[in-house]
Amino acid sequence: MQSNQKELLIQKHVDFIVNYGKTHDQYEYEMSDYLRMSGLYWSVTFLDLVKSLDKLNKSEIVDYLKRNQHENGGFSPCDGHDPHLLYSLSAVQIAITYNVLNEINSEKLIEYISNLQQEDGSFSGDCWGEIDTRFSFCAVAALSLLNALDRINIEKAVTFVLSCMNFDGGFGCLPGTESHAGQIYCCVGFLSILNRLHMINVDLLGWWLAERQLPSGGLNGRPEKLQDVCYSWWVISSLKIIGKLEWINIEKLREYIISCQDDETGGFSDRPGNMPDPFHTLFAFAGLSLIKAFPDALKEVNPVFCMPQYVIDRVKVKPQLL
Amino acid sequence: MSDSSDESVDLDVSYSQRPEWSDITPITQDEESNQICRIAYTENFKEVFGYFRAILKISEKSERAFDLTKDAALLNPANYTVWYYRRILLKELNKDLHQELEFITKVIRSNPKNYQVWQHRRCIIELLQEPDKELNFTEEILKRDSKNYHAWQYRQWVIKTFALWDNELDYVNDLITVDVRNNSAWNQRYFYLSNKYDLTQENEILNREIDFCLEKINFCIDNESSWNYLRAVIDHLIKINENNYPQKVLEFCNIKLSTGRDDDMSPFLLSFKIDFNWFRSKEMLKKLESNNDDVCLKQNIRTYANESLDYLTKLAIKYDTIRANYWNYLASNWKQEFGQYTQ
Repeated sequence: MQSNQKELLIQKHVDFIVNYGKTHDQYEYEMSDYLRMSGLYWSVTFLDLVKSLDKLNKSEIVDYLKRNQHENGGFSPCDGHDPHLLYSLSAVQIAITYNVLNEINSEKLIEYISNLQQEDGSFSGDCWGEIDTRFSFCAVAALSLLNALDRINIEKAVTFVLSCMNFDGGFGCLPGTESHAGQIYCCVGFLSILNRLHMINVDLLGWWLAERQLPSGGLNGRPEKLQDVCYSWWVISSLKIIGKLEWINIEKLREYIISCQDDETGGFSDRPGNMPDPFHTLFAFAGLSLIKAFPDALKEVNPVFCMPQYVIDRVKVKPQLL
Repeated sequence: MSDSSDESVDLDVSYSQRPEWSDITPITQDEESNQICRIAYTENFKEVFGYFRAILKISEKSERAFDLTKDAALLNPANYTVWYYRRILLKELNKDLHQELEFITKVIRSNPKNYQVWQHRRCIIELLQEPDKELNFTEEILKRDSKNYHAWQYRQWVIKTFALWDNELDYVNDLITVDVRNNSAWNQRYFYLSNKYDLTQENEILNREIDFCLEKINFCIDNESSWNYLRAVIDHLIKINENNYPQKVLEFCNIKLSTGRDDDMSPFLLSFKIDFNWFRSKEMLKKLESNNDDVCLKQNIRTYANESLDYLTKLAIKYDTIRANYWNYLASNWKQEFGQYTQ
């Protein structure tokens, strides 16, 4: 049953996340084992935002991080998988949130990430060479948290990301590919970390992003697609970074996000009535935090890193915001 | 989730019962030690990946290992390590790449929204250097979901890598005819245009594109994709020659605006006219700098500003209320820049 009322059932969501992996649907869970490290990041970040990080066993998580760092420095999502940039960023985010960077081999990790930069400035996700602006974001986000941005060629990295800017002001995953809110978040976040937001046509991009809001209040990721709670995060964090968050209707978005809450099981889904999962639960709460919907219950989120702001302050990282 | 469920892998005889696998001890995942990431696997899944981990650990390059990666890939097509290892084996064992292409074709058909399977296909085609069937294949996938991002990305790679531009415009035209709101198709049109032509020169081509846009906008006025495309084309035209603003676009807008019908009052139309007014008003403001007494220029700016403010008010309170703040922001820009001429 989905909620029409405006109450946020935080305790239920905490239980949902803490018990996920024990009571979840078996098939769904095994199919997603390849992203376990990111799952941990979603859970940790969500719990910290709702002031319940103590519900997880910190030493188990530190163990998990250590076990999944490979000899080359990169992190795999879980046992038996190869290291990948995506999970390396998740691992850094978890380590930074728990303030346990000393427990992993940072130097090796920095080396791993820097080695993934290509001649044209782009980043591949791993040794197999798939290129995507998501990986550019993962690389600079991780390196900035590790205070090691000087280890890559920043100018070339920027040139590549800008080559993926489209005529509608948005960004795709490669030069020429369609604008997509998820990719835009990555590229805008990337430019924010590198202090290059002036390279964006803010009015054009801001309008494109604002157009993502549908009459339901929810946001989609591309024209003519359905609204989805995770896109609410990618669109509004991008808007926040370029200083145009007020261009959408915040109240209607708030109502939409709450309507995706599962009152019975806890957790949030992409759209009202669908199955909840940790991914959408984190992005629902990150969105609610960003629009300051429940300021007493939720900690402030950083729009670039999707991590609690106090954590970003602690490591003294200051991404550019317009 | 995809339809590649457990059922698609039918283990008639489980690996542990097969004599040819008796020398291998499967490696199970260390589940109990970690409550956080405990995973409840099905038996098939556990078994296949237990053997896969064992093979991986000793880097066994054998036919049986190759067959095992097939079961593992079908059980979980998103497991990129399986695909990597399969590619290593493809090379080492000198496997028939055409057969592999058939296999990945089937897998993509049942898992079209998955990064790994498309990446695998790309690797196979790179090795084969035979792109002949690739456009047809992506068309087959896009027929089922015309916005599949992976398929589009792959198609662009094929076209660029093997210079297969010849029929792309026809294909895009067909897609836009079927669904004028297909943003992926409009994007592909731009991809085609900007790769095929030097848009800083091609007056004629750009004008052809304007005609195309106007026809599609006339057919469906409230369509973000066609308006965005039109703006991009006009930007190129103006860069070639500042006085090149296509009059036919303006005439088209004015006809639509003059009907006064609510159906025609698309936010995209109004916004387009407002931006045109801004463009012209800024030009006139420049001229005023050298001739501050030109009453006619001032009058024109006043007309543009008043019309724009009128549209912006209507957008904010009637036609597009959800984005009222955006329209109000534009209105405040107008007042700041041209407020003195509206009095």
